[in-house]
Amino acid sequence: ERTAEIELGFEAALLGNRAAVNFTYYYQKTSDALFRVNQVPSSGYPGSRLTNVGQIDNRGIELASNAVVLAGRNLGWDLGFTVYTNHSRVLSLGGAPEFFIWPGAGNIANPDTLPNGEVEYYSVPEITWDCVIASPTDSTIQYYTSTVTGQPTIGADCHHGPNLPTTTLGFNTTIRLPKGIELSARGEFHGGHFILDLASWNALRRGVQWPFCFEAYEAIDAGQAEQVSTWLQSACIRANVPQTGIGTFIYPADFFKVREMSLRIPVTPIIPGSETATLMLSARNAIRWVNADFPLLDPEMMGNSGMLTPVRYMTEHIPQAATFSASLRVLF
Amino acid sequence: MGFVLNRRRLRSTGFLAMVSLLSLSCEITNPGRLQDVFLNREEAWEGLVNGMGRSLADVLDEDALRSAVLAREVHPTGSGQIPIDQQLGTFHEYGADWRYEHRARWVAEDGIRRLTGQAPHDDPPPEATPDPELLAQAYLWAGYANRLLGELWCEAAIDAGEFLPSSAFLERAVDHFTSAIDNAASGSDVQLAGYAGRASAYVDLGEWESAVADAGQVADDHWAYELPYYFGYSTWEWNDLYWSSAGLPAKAHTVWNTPYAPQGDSEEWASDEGSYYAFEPNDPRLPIRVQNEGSGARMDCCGEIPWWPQTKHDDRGANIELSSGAEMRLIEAEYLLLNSDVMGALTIINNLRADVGLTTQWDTSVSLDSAWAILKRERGIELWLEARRLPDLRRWVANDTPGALDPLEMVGAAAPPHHPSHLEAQALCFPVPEDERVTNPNSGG
Repeated sequence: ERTAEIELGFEAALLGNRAAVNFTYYYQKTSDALFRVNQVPSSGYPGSRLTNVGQIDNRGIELASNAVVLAGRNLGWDLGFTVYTNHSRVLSLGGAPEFFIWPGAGNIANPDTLPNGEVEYYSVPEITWDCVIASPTDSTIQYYTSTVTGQPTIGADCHHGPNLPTTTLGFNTTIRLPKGIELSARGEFHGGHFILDLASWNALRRGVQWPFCFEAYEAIDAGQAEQVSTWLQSACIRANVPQTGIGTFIYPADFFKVREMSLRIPVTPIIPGSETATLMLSARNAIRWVNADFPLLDPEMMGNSGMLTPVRYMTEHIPQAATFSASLRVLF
Repeated sequence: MGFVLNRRRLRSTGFLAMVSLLSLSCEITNPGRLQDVFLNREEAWEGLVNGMGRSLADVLDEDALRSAVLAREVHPTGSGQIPIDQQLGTFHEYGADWRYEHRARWVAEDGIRRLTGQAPHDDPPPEATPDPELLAQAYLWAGYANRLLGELWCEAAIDAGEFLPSSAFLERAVDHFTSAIDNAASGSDVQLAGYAGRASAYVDLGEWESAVADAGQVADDHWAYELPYYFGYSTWEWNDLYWSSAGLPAKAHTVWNTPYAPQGDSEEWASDEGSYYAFEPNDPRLPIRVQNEGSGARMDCCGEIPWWPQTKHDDRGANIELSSGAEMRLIEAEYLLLNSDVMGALTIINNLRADVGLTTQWDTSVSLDSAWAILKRERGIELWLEARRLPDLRRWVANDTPGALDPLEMVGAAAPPHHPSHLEAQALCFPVPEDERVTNPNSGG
């Protein structure tokens, strides 16, 4: 495969070096991209084979900025943020049929020409599966917050979106207070991607009572299933749970986490005989926001292979835990 | 001090430079792990043929388990090892079995092409000719691989070709078995297996006269041809039918609540018409360990499922029978029933029962309908856990054959005091999986 890339960017110091900006735009085009393409099973070869297939591109920006907002003798405030974006597209498969890089879900798909003439490109890979749609005449994919009721309508080969985040935002801040007290925080947002929830699927198809269905069970048990959303009917009524695959259990995975908050307090005066003593209180991954269509568990859960999988999914591996720590460092 | 030209050194340096330049080449041949043409050579043939059997073994045990669950030769325990859809009676496959069955077919058929000098390569055909017994064995493996595909899958697709009826596999099986018969030594196990395999394929194709003619070539009721498995090598050599329910730790299936196990109080033998659910205790053809132990897994219907493991396959290296003389007798019996000869058919069946030491005999004066029910039951017992029951059910349903099946192997309620089968549907064949339909340009979508 051959990749051609162009990068444009700049670095700047502003406001008397109190602020710095670093910006890069990149565009990358790969020809004869190497993918593990599934072979026709009836040909006798059961696996996939590395094949040079078509063209893909990636583009995005990387922006980092840091600023000293306040720089007083007893008061200081630093602020920084980052923005990373990455958008991939399959431009062409060179005549090869679309294929999956992960059983059923991670699709490498040719662009589609829509009725209005526009071309719709799909990401690398595209999470594609049957799904709950609004109605037989409206193929809008339904998710957990859907309010569409009635009989569920299942659409075939729904293109959800990319499996990896297209937008990553970060921030960091440090506030210095009198007496050497320091407060810092760092957070991160990942968005634009979709994830497969095999944990919920495996539980629900076994008939396990599942938390995000609790609100629906009463109506379902009373024979009034059509009063709950079609998405909940599809997920929570065992007979409806797709046995052929995860179908319903693909969600937008946008989330924000405060990766770290810490408070650092010098406490030398209260530790007799110490030269320096510092108390550090910190919390990691303690604050979390997930988008409303992500009903349960954590978007940073992983499967048995961890990150070493062509398509990320959630099963047994728990995400990074929220941790709280307190430490006292004393130098005598 | 000046520079002294050392002519000798210059000559040797120039020589070395010339050699280096000549050795530079822009063409590189990567030999890979093993060159394909080596497999055309006589030294590779025995390994090729052994590999054909191993490829078939790799998938037959899994297929036997999946088809056994759908046909209720075993009852799932609720363990995730058997997918939920199969527990309930449907079959949605991502393609693993289809892929590996086709590998078994292709490995055998490609190997035959190499042995017979038809490999599509530029190399000249091998000078030696293969030993006829080796070639016969290769054809035998190809025959059984195609029979497996034809018996289990709803449709056929071969070498990325168009979709065909599953009979296309069976017709290939007949051809391969014929070649096995022609090449094998007269009366050898391979030749007998060729006749037996071909007889079973003819049964599936509905060509009964041919089936019976071939069945008659296997005179010994006690003869059997087995696919070997091995304990001690890699796990794919193991018999997964055993391994999946040996409690080590998997207890994926049980014989509880199947037609092959004791059913509550109905343990007494009954030969009355209609009492086909009873069984004779200690039937050596149905070794089962009945015990007071749960499987640890649960199903909606029943809570924790009792774990009664089969012991027909009692070891990781337990072989699986591909053909047998007893099966041939049952083919003959079924042909007699197709011609309404109840006494003839049941006499054959009773002889088979006596052969294994069973003392109770079926009443040969029962109705034709009852006789069919008896044959269906006896065939289920004889071919238990060999990936053969599901195709039998498929054939009988397709032909609307008379004779009741046991309710425990069908969808629907059972007569008290029996449990139902817990099947919510019943796939009688495996649908061709999605990855064939997506990747095969001739699939029609």
